[in-house]
Amino acid sequence: METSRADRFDQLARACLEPLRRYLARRTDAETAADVLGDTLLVAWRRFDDVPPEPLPWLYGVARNCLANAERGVRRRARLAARLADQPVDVEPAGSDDLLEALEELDDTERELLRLWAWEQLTPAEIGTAMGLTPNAVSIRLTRARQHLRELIDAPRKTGDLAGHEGA
Amino acid sequence: MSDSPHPSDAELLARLRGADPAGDLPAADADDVDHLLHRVVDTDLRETGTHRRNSLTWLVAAAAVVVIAGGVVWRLSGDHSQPGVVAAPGASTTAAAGTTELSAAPATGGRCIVPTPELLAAKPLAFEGKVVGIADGVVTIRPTKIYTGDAGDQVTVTGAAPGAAGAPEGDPAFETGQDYLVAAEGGRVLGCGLSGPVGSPEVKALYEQAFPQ
Repeated sequence: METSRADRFDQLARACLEPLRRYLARRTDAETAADVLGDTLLVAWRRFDDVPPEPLPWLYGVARNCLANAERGVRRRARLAARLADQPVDVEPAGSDDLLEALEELDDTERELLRLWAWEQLTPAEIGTAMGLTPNAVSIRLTRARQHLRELIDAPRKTGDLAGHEGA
Repeated sequence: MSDSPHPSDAELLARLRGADPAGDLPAADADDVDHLLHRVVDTDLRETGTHRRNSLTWLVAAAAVVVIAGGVVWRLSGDHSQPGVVAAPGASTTAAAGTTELSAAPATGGRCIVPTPELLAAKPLAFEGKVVGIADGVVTIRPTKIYTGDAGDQVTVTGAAPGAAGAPEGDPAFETGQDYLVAAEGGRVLGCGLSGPVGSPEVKALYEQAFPQ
């Protein structure tokens, strides 16, 4: 009985592991991501009976909560700063730094809505599952978040922020 | 002041996707995933097998798992292999940590489906890489950009028959030092216009359309 539960969990975890790793890699440094991945899987295992048929949005919600817990601390801020400072950007198109900066200027909810929309590629209903919102609320707030991001992108940037490029 | 229109949702989406910090995150090593999952279940079963302890005990156990998981995944983050098809047995094999093994596209009787961006976008692995060596019929490619899936640090392509290489339905004619766009499925390189040299305008355009950045 317990074995079959373990087998089913194993299947679920393998199917969702890479999306979860990407979810965390997009939001925190590698070390915290590894910690939170362990936390998330542990919660998924312990609450396996609660996992819905479409598990990924639910798991993103678990990961989000675990990450929020992990982020309560001074160390996280230092790590994030370090990550942003030497993030490998070899495949990023020009201008993505500004875009990521603009994203950081949004409030947590709007930022998460946009990330789930663009990076995890979730529907409003799935975002609702991950964030504990109704699909309708997601749609409304997503529209607003997109508008805020556009405004930030369009706003004149501080000269020093423009790029990390040398020279010029 | 600019009166240029705001980017549409689609443009905004494309820009955000192009800035995805996990766009080139390599997959975790399959063995270490096994280890991690085993630890999660095993630790909890040990904990609940006797009977569920108080929350302090649980927190200690959770902390242990986190440390273990952190160690495992951390160790792996520089060392990856399995493409993003971990759950698809036989999709590819791992010869060594960080290496994805593919076999050459079969030279079928010259029949190809017309390659479309939709067809390409649905494939589990697509990447750009430089051929860093060809020895004993094994082409070694170092991925430089991942469009979808996970190629690991290195990709080898075996079984590229010299006669078939470059045939329209088969592999691109791999040459050392050249850059290629490569799609794979089921452990095989996909020919038929889905893989080819970066310098090929058709292949390049296909990838740009399939994976807008």
